[in-house]
Amino acid sequence: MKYQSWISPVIVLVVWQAVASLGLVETRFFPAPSAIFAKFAEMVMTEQFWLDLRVSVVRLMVGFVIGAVPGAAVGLLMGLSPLAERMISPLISMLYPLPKIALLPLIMLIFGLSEASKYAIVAIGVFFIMAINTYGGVQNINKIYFDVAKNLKIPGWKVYLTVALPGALPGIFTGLRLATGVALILLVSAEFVGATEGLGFRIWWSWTVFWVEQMYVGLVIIALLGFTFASLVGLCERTFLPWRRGGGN
Amino acid sequence: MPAEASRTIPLDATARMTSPTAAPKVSIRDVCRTFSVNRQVFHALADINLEIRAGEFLCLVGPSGCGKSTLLRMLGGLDQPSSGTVSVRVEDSRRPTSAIVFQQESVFPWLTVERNATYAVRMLGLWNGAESQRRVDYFLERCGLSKFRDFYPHQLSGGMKQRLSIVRAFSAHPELLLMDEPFAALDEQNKLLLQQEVDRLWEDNKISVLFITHSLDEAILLGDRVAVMSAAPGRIKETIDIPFERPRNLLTLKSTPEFGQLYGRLWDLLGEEVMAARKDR
Repeated sequence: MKYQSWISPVIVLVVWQAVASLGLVETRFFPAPSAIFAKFAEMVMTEQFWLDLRVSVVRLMVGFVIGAVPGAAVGLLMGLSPLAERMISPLISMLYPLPKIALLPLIMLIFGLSEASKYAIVAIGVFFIMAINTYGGVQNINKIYFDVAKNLKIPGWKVYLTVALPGALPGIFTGLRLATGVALILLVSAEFVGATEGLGFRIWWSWTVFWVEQMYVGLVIIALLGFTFASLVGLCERTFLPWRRGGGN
Repeated sequence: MPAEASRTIPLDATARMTSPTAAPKVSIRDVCRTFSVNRQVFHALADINLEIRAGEFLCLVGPSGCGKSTLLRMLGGLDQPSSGTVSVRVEDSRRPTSAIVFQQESVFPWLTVERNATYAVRMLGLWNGAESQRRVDYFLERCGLSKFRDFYPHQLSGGMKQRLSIVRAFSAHPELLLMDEPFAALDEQNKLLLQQEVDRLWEDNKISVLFITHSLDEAILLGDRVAVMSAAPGRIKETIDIPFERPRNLLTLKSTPEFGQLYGRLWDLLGEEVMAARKDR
């Protein structure tokens, strides 16, 4: 990152620290960054902190994979088979606008407070985003690439592997990037109401007992988690799609 | 796969057969093609009869919208006639029957220059190590892409991408090469260089070529014959032999009276059709 990128966060922190220290804001709601950092240093020494972090990361990853793989597969199928498109697309269009968090009571009814309920809510959110973006990715492949393969009489399955799949990868990665944000939202929401550990639960619990500094630590950790997750997807994209570097097609 | 056929594909494997008695490479018989556009029947091609001899370089000219590309796509297996027959005589069933060089950009953006060039050979299971590598190296070298073999298409200029699609088509070692205005989008210098390259590659490799162009210069420079198509519905209006010896040079050709006569004759044939095509609109 260029040093310019650090300017605005640093200014925010400095101003925040100043107004909090000078008593210009209510520190019960807006504790100084130094106080939050002190709380953070204290928390990393506890087992509870690492347990919460680990539990949330595992839920995020498992739910993400369970949703992303079938989502991408369904998207590819819809993109490549007009029959599948006609059959599946209305269902996706109807279910996609439904806020996934509205399904949480149903999911908890089915899975209870178990880990499975958290995997399920994350997976459902990720699934739709992946299906729609992968489908869009296949649709966006220039037809001429299929013409090239057909003209050379390349066997069908090789066309899928060497034209449809790489051609859809930009759409798949757009889906993955969007899905990271959605997955985090759904995870934290589910942990608010239906968990006894995890970062979302810790934030909610901090509110109920009015441990504001701990709540802020939770917020910072979730922000860092989201940033790390998105960076990982970006790294994968640059690794697997070197041909996108410096512009699309 | 026929066991008796050799696995190696030397660059000069197919002897050039231009004797008129040899069976034609391509026979197009009474081909019609209609499309329905907004519930109306549009006749794109009407009663096309055309042959391409083995080893022949046939140029096809005609007003825009006359169905040239439709005809080429039929030979490439991407379209079917509504009636009539299109047949390409296959000599070696392992080789691709045809390879198209499209007018638009068509190299795979997700493959490097080298992987693009070797795509057909790899996908058809024809890769045989050193011999295949030698062929690809040869074509990359001839089209000035050797230094760029690890580049991705987005790192190349438009002219280089078009050269790459020519390399891809030649490396596929097709029996029939189909080129659809391959140089239309290129600047003049690149066009002149690539015309020479295609001429040299064709002479060295002895394959049959159908070459669509809107440039009469290009048609006379490259073609053994030039077929002129009429305005839609497209018909073959006339086919003209180009008698010049090879190798040809456009500048020296242009200074000969024969060139002027041929150009004039082609232009007369084409001009009528261009006017006819405009009237219909």
